[in-house]
Amino acid sequence: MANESLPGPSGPRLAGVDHVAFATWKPVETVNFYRDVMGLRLIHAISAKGWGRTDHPDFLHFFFDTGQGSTIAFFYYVGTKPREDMAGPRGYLGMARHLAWIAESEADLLAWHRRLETQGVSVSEVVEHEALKSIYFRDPNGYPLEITWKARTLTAADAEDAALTIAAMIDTFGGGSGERTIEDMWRRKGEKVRAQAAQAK
Amino acid sequence: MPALYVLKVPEFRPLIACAERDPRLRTTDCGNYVRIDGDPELTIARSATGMGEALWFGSLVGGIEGRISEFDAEVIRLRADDAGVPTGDE
Repeated sequence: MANESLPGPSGPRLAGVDHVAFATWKPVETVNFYRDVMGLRLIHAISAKGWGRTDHPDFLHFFFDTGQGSTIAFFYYVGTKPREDMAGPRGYLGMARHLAWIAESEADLLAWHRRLETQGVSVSEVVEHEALKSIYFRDPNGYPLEITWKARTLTAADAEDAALTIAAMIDTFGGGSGERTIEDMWRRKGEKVRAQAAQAK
Repeated sequence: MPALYVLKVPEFRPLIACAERDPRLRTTDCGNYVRIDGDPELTIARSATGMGEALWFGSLVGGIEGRISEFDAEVIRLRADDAGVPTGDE
């Protein structure tokens, strides 16, 4: 999240996401979901005779507009066998790698929730996290998706706190987690916060 | 005695406010954090904070002193360090 009060990176900068790309073996359902259910604009489609390599299948590559110059894109590899594992494992690991889009307002987040529910998509309730409120759902391929509203802007205090948490994480788990627990890490963090407060006095 | 540091951000304000209302707990301003002390233990019930579960389970992210006796969807209970038990990280 951009924050003008924090120092910027010293090297070349990234300006946002151009596209994220996934494989699909359900091209029709995928188009129906992103174009019709979500209502995203289909803005580009490429199709190619492989890439001149004998082992590269012919394919389509199509892009939906997800705002601010970003797109979500799909590859459909003609004649290849579906890979059921592409959406990743179920359970908590199944949500670890996911894609989260921005809703500009809380009203927009709620409007998305209503739209998805109305369209028959199984969608979570609005979940309140630190600084974010989010809804979660999956596309027809099983890919986990999120729409999130930034309830507040992150501040220098958030970044300073993050630095202490990560320092505590490295101290606690840097050598492999072994017998160490999240409690050990919170205790280490507590030591760091206390030391910092003592220094500031 | 057990203590909990809470980052002074809006989403954790209910946790701080709950501690301020609770006569068994003491709150102290501590830079970016509020330190909450309990004596002899520190107990906070989620129902007293009004916090949702997702946020509640991150309540200890600011760091703690002492040990966790109990931490589930309903209650956080911290106790003083176990006397004589080495922690290995001090």
